Amino acid sequence: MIGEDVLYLTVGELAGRIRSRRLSPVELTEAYLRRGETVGARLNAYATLTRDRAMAEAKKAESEINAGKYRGPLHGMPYAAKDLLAAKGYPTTWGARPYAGQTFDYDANVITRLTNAGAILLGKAAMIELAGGMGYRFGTASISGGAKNPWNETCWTCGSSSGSGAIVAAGLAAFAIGTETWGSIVCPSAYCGVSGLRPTFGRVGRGGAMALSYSMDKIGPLARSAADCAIVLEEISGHDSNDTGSLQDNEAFFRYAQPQHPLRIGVLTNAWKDVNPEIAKITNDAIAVLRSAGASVGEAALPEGPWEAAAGVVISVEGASAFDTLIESGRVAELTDPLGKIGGYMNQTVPGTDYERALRIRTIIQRKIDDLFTHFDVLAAASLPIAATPMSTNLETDLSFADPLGGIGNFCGLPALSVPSSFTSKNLPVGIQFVGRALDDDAVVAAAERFQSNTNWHRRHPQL
Amino acid sequence: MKISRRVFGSLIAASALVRARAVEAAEPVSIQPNAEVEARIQWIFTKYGSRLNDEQRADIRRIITGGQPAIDAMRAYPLGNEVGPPVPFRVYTGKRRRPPAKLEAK
Repeated sequence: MIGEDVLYLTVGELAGRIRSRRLSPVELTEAYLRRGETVGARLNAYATLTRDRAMAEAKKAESEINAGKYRGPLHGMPYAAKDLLAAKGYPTTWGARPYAGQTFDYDANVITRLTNAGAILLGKAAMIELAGGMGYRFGTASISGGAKNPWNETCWTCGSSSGSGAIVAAGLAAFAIGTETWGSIVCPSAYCGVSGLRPTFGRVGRGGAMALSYSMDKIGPLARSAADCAIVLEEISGHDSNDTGSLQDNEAFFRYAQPQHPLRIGVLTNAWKDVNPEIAKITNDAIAVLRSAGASVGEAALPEGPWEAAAGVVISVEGASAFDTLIESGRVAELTDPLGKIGGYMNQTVPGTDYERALRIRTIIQRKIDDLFTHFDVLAAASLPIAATPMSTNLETDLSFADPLGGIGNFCGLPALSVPSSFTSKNLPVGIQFVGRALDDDAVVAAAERFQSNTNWHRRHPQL
Repeated sequence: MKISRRVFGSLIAASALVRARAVEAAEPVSIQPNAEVEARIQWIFTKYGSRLNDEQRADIRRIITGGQPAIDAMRAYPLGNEVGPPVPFRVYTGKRRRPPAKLEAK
């Protein structure tokens, strides 16, 4: 019988036990599946459990490992994939009722790569409908209902990788795959107290993934440590000929190499206008930990400009095009959220000249932000200025604040990693994020890993 | 007025229009009706009006009107003719091998 403590081990720790045959992939998979059927169902964390596939993959992995054919750190490792990634023969709903019966006869590139690494697909993680592509007002905007935060089940996990966050936080898988167009990995990681890596745009191929924004969608891991995120990224990175945004292999492949010089960290003074005082203190304390660990720390400021508006125009127009058939058909009315039912119509009205202007503005901000990285390896800020909010919160009216770091980071395709930095007085997780230069995913991993080697916040897990 | 405020929920996606609507929510401002905003609203009502109830029509009017200042600010940003988009068109060569580079003239 596998104890709960094992289910919360990191990928690195599980891999050590699996490789030495002290832990059976079959037993581990069965334990995660059972927990998925009970705790997972309670949290609305999974859209679908892929039990038959999981057990077949687990038996295959165990057989290979017992025969001495160990493939690497993800061999025999159970994981979940956001339900916008195709998994052959299983429903891939994109979180949305109009696609409830959708299946594909192939696996998404990411799932193929993980299968080749010997990983075990436990199920499809719940998500916000269409990754929020038509807009949404409530955290319940999903065919599978709102994903409940394992730290407080009256709170939301954030989205759109809402199930992925819940799954990792609740010990329902060793890691999960999420996606981010703007905030969808960083936010659930912060709300759920897990480590989430948004890789450089183009590093992870999107073949077989639902498209929301062709020039802004990224795929990345949520896991229990920054080191785990690096392990997963090493396996899923690489060129994908089915993704027009994919980098060539010489740039796409990620092999973590810890920087040899002391990290230079730029603490952003204008990432958030108003930060909850408790979170501001936690973030300052986290920076102090890094300073004590030898990092060089200075203040930095994001350039001012209409970057968020431009990024929003790009998402709106690319999303309106990606879902034009759905919008034209009127089946957006089947979406759950009141905003999702009309967002596509509004997005169709953005003029083409505005879209092209937004892209040209992207050129400007790419250069400006790259200049900032001549002084720093990573930029750091609170992942969010607040902790998890109640499920019933109206996101449109009750929570509004600028997010220039998220806007710039996603518009420019920069890597980011959010890790838990402490907990509020209400025992809700708080995150700190590190953002790096394009292709410098090493730096964000290094900063987060340095922090986690000096703290234990990522070791905490909720009582469920 | 800060124009980059946005709706938290739509951080993850959503439309610039919705995002920019938060300007109105957070800092009430007087947004004058203008012909472009009205044209966009009427385009939706003309094309999709039969699908929309009164509440949805009101939401569309409110959100598009509230989002216009963000778009106006983006349009006001100075851009020279020489600034192109970061992803230029690339010719498609399929799986063909690239032709050898021309020899330099001697």
